[in-house]
Amino acid sequence: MWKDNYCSDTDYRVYDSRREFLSKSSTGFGLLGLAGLLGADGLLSTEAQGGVMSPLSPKKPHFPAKAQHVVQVFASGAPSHVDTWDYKPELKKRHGKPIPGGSENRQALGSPYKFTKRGQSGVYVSEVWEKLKDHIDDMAVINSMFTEIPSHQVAEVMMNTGSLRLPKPSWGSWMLYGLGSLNQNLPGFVSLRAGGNPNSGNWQSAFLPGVYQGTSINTREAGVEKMIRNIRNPYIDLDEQRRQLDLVHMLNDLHSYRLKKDEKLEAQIASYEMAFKMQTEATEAFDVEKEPSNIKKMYGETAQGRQMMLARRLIERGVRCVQVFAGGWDHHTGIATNVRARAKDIDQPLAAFMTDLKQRGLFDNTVVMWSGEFGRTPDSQNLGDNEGRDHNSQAFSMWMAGGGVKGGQNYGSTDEFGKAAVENKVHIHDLHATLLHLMGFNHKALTYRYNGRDFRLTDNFGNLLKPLLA
Amino acid sequence: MKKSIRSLLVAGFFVGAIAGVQAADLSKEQLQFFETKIRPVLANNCYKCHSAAEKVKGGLTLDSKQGVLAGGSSGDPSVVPGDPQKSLLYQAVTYKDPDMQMPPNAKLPDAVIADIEKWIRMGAPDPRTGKAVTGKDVLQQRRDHWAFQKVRKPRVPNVGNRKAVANPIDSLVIAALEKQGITPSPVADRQTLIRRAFFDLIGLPPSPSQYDYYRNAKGDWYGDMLNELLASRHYGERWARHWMDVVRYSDTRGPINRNKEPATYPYAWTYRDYLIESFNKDKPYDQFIMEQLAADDERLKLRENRNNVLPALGFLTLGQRFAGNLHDIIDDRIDVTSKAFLGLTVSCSRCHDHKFDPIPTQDYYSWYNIFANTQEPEFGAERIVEDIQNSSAVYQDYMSKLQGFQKIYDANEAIMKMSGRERTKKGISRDRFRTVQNDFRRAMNNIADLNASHPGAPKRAHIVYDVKKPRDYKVFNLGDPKSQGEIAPRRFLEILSPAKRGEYKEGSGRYELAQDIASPGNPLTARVLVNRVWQHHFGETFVASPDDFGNQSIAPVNPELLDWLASYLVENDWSIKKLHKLIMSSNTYRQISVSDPRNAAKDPYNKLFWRQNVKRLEFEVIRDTILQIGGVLDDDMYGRPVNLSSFRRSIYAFVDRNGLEETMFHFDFANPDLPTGRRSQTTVPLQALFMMNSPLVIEQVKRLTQERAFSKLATSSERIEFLTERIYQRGPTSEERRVAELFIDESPDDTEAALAQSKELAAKITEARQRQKSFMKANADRQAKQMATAQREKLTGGAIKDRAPLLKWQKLAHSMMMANEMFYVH
Repeated sequence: MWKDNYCSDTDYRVYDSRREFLSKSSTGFGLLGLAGLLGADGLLSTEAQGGVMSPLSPKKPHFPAKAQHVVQVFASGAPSHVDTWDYKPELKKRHGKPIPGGSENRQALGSPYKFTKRGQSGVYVSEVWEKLKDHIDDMAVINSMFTEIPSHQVAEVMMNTGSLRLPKPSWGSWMLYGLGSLNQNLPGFVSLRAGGNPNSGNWQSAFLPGVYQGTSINTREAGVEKMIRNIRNPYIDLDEQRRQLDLVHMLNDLHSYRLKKDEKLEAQIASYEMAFKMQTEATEAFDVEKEPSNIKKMYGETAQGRQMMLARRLIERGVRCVQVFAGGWDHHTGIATNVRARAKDIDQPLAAFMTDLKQRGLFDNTVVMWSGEFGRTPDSQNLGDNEGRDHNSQAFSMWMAGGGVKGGQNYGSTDEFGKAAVENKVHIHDLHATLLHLMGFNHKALTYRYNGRDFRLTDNFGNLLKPLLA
Repeated sequence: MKKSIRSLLVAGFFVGAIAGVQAADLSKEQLQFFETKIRPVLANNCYKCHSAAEKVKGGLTLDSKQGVLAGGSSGDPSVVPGDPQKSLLYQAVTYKDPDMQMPPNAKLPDAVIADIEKWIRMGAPDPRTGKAVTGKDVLQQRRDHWAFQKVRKPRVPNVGNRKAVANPIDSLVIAALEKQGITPSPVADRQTLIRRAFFDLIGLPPSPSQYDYYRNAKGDWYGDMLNELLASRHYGERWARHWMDVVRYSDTRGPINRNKEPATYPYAWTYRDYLIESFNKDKPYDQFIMEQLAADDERLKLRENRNNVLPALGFLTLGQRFAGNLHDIIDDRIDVTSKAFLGLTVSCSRCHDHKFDPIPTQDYYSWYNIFANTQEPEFGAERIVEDIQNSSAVYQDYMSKLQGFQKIYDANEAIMKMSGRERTKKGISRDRFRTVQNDFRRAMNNIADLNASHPGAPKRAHIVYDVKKPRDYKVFNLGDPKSQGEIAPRRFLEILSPAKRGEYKEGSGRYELAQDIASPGNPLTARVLVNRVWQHHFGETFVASPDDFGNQSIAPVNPELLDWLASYLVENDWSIKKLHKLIMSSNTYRQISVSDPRNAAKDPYNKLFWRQNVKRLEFEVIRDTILQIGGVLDDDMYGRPVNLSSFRRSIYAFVDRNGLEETMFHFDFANPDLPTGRRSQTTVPLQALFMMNSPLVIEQVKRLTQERAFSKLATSSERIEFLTERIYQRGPTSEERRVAELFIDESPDDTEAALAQSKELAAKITEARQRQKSFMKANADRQAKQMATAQREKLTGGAIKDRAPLLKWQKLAHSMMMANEMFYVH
């Protein structure tokens, strides 16, 4: 169905006429004129092409939806659900004894953190969420998530692409493919990380066109020039650079012609155009230092505070999807201190982000979600004063809030100890189906043909979780 | 098993009775009942654990009629048509037997259970006529997987199109093409072949003189060129890097136990140098394997000094350290060994038998025990692998600095080794311990940094050796060290061993493991290597997952060719260079990369290799090429890692797994945590920004046009030719000439810019002279430091604000560098 968008009448001007032009004319239109003509086959900026659809132009979803943006806070490392969002009093009672059905050599580890009913809805929240608790009435906490393989890299990519082995597009790339972006001068899907080497599978476009790939930004060091290397050109001005890029496109076009248009080459053109526009737009968008001091204070002047502030600035400017890495949750030891420490990193920034969205009227059109890639065992891996939890793919918790989400609820549940999801189990495909629905898509109908087959984010699976919808 | 004999008899009877019933014999109602009420229930609730496509728990499959009737490993049928009470499937879903409740997580709704009962009473009509697959079949099929069968050298077929055959590769390729009615593509032109061969073998474009020579050379110029490139020392730099991707090379350790080890591997580079040298020497691949797994074993015969070979053990040691978790460190070593050499994911069997391949958990722990009986020297005692010149001043300087740090290290070591309880007993307060810990850690990192940077520090290697008294440990159930099963003797994988599998008795068993891997009879070793080499020549592979040849991989389209090449490799003493030569001498390799619509209609993804592929160049190649174009590439070999701002080849750049250098990260550099036989290929705006704006690129553009050879050219036409040849190693097309001329004609006047640039150039020269003078005065150590700074400045040319603007010809050259041709080989 999306094919139609790309096939405007001007899309296929015949190569031969241009070649003829090139071979006959030596003066006349000048280089820009030539570039305009070439632009018809390539992916030059929308303006230059006089109405030819760019692959990032905004598109309509299947049905009207509240949400326009998705912001995912990705707590990679597999946060312990029984210490954060899944209240298990029975586990506490069993503390120190083996869990039925679990390893006989391991003992139940009751959460060292206190859970309290919060908000009007009375959802149980762990004490580690000192600030986020104030938003609980807007949050739908899913306690019955499960996944396939409890190995970090694989499960992270599974969480973001729905695929364990084959490289498939990430949810952000699918959104961009389906919806385009509201700002043509910034990447439509931005992935933020404060250091580390997360797998690019988490924001990959795989077989979708390269223009839907997430752009990964390292926010470890503040300042636009540190975050986006080479954002400025110290040698020439933008007019001359424009002329350079027009020449680049022409050279590419001649090159493609010689190779009979190899598809791989197309993405390069789009990436130069985006890069060119980012030089002006991104410099402004990424400059979090411009935020007033009360806002900075609200988010907290930390790496995560900076990331969440940046996330808000980006969606405010029309960026479709933002992924924020807030990892470090692999707590094989030190549950009693480490969970609190990791939560503290993101608690205030994320709570401030939600407050900020609300005060700017952006909350209702933004889906906010927090999750890891799997959960942890309710029994202890290390005894003594350094107790930790092992990997557990059978249960984990996450939450969603904002545009179209019915907040103030728990959905699904694990067994009495939190070992495995039992009631209303939610697979990642179900989550993806629901996410797509919130953005106005029937997950079965958003497809892309590749290798002779129609692919979707949810593969052949996925059930819409209606109780999560407002 | 309870009830088994009777059930078996009954089952046998019914299987016989029902087997003849075909889908066509089912009534419309029966069919509809199955399709609407039964198949969805089975698919949604059972297939995940009981299907040929996914898991075969308990040896049971429910995705075929035969599987349902045959039942699982208990021997009982899961469905006895007509009799729900005797049908285990029905028993299980009713949850009546506490030992057998399915699906395990939640009982099915009563209505569904009633449907199942009804279905069985109807005689279990089942239209699934697809190949009957039972659980036992699946297990056997996994063993029958092509990659586990011996390599058999196929006969080279006769083909119709004999003129297109240059060597047996072509015969095998064309035979496959002819079956599909596909014709091979013509041989590419000389310029394309020159560029292709240079990038493939040495990762650099031809120099202007090489280009001129091969463009005009007579006779067997192509063969001569291959010989020159294979003999080039740059060959090892190109191919060692491919191998470093596979062995997750890094100069840092990832998460560490900060009381035991520093953040870096100060001697990782000695492994990198070993790799470069091995490739350059064309070390036989079997010997290469032996050395990387067992260079320390005296039984391993060497043609050179063992000190030269010991760094090979970096293959095992340079992985992540997982905060000191020994089990994870061993797991990483199992992972890299099995993936790199065998294309197997043995580490998937850590907690349970492999889900897709015949690799039981027992096998994992057999390997676990090999590495559990392997040790590393402690920090500071890494093996010295060169003779030390005791008397040299630089060594003396190193020693005096080392002693300073060592004193602090030694003073605190005793307390660091105490347990918490011992410390309390000795009255060491928390505060005191914290001070001790800080001093100790700082001293340790200082020592590591000194060893990593001081020119007088002896060359060492991160080696391993066997424990004195090796022993076997038990299997950890579900990967849990606290829950142990049977002893897992040290030995090779079951699927790759003869029925009577020997055990490894001497030492850790690494030597024997290496022998089993490097054996000519191993069905995987040669195939996996051939596939890797082919990938870097064609951009595509026989097996698309180069690190996984197991059941999850897609079978090669031309298995005969893969096997023929694997045999060729073994017959030719495992010589990788001979393999290159053979591949590159084929017409298959030399084809044009331009698509052909008639062929593409039959084989759109070029799986049969009817043309060359357009190959994307890696980050290292792009960067090295830019430096070479600017004429500044520093072709020193070997040594300690350098900063990316230097002009050394990219293989010498420091690789930090804690946070890759940004440019490397954005250009799809291999993940240093996991074996990466195939890098991802992305195209993102951050790569474009690097090409558009980074001083590394633009300064080379400036240098190129500041060359006398360029500035003396009088006409536009000559200049365009010069730039195209230097940047693309070919002449310009008439269209390119026209476009370039137009660009120059339309460029604004640049007299002022030219003035600014000549001032800049003059200032640089003066500065360089002054720097040289001060070098002479400074002592050795300071000199080293200044040289590092000098290199940085040579690159950036002062503060960014002061950059002199570009001239029109530089803008043109820069655009040419940004264009696609710079990133691809045809």
